[in-house]
Amino acid sequence: MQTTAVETPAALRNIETALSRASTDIPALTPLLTAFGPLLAARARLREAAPGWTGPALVIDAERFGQGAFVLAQTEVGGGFEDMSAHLTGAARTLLPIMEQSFPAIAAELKLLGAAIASGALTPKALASAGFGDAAAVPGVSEQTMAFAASELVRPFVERQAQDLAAQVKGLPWPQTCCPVCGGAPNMSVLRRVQEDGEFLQAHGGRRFLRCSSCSTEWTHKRVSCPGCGCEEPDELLVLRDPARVHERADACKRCKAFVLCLDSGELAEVPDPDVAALTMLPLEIQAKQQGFAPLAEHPWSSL
Amino acid sequence: MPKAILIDTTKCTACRGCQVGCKEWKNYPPVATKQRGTHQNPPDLGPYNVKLVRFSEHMESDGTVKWYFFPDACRHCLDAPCKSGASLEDSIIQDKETGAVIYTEKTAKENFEAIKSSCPYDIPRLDPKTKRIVKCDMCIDRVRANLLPMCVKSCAMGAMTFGERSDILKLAATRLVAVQKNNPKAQLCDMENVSIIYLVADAPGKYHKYAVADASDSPGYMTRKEMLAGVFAPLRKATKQLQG
Amino acid sequence: MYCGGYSPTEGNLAKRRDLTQTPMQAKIHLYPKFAWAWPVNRRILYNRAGVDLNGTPYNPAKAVIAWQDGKWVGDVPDGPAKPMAQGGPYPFIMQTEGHGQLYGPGREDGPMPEHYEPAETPLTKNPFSSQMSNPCMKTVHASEYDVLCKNGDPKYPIVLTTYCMTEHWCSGSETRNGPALLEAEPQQYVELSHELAKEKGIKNGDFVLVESLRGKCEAVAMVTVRIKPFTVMGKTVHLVGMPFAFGWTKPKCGDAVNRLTTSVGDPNTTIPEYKACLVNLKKIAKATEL
Ligand code: SF4
Ligand code: SF4
Ligand code: SF4
Repeated sequence: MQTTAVETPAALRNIETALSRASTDIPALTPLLTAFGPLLAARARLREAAPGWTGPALVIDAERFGQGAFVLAQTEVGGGFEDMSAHLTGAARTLLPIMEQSFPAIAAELKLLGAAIASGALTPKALASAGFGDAAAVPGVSEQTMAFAASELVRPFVERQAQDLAAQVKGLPWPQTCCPVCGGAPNMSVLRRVQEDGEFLQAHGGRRFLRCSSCSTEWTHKRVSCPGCGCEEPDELLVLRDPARVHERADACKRCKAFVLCLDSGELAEVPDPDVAALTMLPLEIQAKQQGFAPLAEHPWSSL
Repeated sequence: MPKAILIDTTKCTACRGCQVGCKEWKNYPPVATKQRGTHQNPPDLGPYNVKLVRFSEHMESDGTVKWYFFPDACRHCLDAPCKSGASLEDSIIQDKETGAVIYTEKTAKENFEAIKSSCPYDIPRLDPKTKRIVKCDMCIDRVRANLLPMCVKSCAMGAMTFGERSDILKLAATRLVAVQKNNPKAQLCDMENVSIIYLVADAPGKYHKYAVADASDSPGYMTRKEMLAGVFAPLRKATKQLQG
Repeated sequence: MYCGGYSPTEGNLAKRRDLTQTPMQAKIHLYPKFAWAWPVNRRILYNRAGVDLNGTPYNPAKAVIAWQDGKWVGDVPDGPAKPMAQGGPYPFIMQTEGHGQLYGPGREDGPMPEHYEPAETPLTKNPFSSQMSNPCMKTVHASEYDVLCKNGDPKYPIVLTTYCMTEHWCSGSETRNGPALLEAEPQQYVELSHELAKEKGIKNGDFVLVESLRGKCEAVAMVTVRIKPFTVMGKTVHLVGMPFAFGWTKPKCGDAVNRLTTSVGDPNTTIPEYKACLVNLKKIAKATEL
């Protein structure tokens, strides 16, 4: 397996250029980009400052890993990321105002949520568990808003820890379609032209990286295969794309009716941030769903 | 932000994918050629060949053979002497975004000999049909569409890397250290002054007469320098600047 | 032939892409559920040769197969018999004696490697063997072109080797129609050393006529330091090289180098010996093929 880890300052710059390029290219998406763009950028900044994995040094059993036991399934803390609740109050102070600006429809709820966090009515621990899908109740804040906000708040810390964890298994074989770090499902894939410093011919098309919907780890995976069911029948695999945007596609499978978005970046001068790329591929995502395909995992904006 | 390309000649196999890819993308017509006792064909850069892989071979005093390949094209000088040598404001322009030096259709009104002689790398060529002066434009159409220049995309050996100038300078420095281990004479050609940076493993003059602006190790340079000095005196300053 | 490759439940087994394996299989990168191998999905032939009489692997770190608790694990055993200590046969079950062989029936030459000179050679004596060239080589006697020089023929003292190039694919019959490729590699050439060029009064870029006992071919001289004369048994032997990417179908790009080469094949497969034959060459003032 190969994983990619992007240096965060570069990642931030990348997000900004990708956003401005996308809104020039597809004006219709500008509202969406102006809503999620600042959030993605703020998340990147938080990730840059976040602590990585501080827990005990990991002992990865390469053999078990090879059989599909992902990193977090092998840690002593029992299957989860390390507690990041200590940082969530600060993160809420940065992120919630940005989200209020971006999503006026839920701004009032977010204000209430912010106040509950500041006053301690919602404890950081409860907020963290809400970020991983547990229920948490704050009067006046809907379930969906709570889930959305909490998962965005934990995300930078999860991603930063995942960077350290992925480094532990770099180079080990990982043929699975779930994330090698946290076991999450992919919601994005990127064909990347990998610069190898070898003396041999290099592939033009690029290797396929699946990207985890929970922790953004990327890992290599067989290119012509459905990550949903493993199907490799050419007749069953379908590539949906807009002829005007040839580097974006949805790789769908007629057998299991699943799809994953794919950015074919082999020919691109600058590979956009995969989150921004996925955002610009929303029309494609909608098209795939209309044709009866289901995503392997959703993006925060998928259900808009 | 300015862009740059590192051309690592130590990885180049002279497959000429870049040479062919470049003219195919630009839709240039084929040129009738003859075998003249070298693989370098067409013999020189031309209006329909703005990228040319140059071949040179040397028998060293210790009996080893050196065969060098140099995928030649415009260097996109940071402070382009050809631009300073132009008589019109907008015949030769520099793209702000990328730093690419671009020849417009107005070059048809320029004095070709003057422009050609002002280039320390002997790059500009005249299209006899349109009278325009032509050279590589860094595939500005592709780069603006966020695509790699065609030559970079074509290179199966990964000899060329396109990117932000700052990133490319870093990569160039790393590769130089690696190549210098076995090739103490390795250098980055005129790195400070150009956007297209060549990494060569030996004296640049052994690759191509105009591999660097001051190729004093290659025969024939002096006459050119004298000509530059005499006929185009005002340009000397620009060239000097270019040489640092 | 591929009996067993389709199963009633799983269909075409060759299409399987399952990468699961046991830890033992992982050590030798064996993926028994990826695709299918004839016969019975065995991946390594005669695999019982990797274990001792009791079925214990000689190299446990990279075991192909092992006898554990009354059965074989790892790869599918070649011959389902028990280990030899328990009455099983020798591992090479398809051989009459059950042993591995370096040489066997049906092979034209062997068993040990030997240096033979090519069918045409500038030498008169093979320095490594009393046999000059391969006694089993396949020759053709169909026309007046199927002739060979005598060893060390003074009329054809130069060795010719032929090869392909990047710009044209194989004989070039397709790629010579690609204008940009033809622009880069337009015409037949012959690479020769500066020493030979001097001897023959040839300059880089001159037209040259290359002749063998069988035919002639025009080419442009490419004089290069990349080819040096050999000294073989005290004698200077010159080598020249020509690509096989040209032919008469594209006018003025030169003719096929196969007009010069021999029609000799290797004993088992008759793969042609296009890598070596004898020629002579001279400068010509005018070319008709180029
Ligand atoms: S290399 Fe020559 S043509 Fe290119 S920018 Fe510099 S001076 Fe101009
Ligand atoms: S950048 Fe474009 S125009 Fe310039 S040499 Fe490369 S392919 Fe040709
Ligand atoms: S494509 Fe790459 S390897 Fe081939 S000639 Fe150009 S630079 Fe050299």
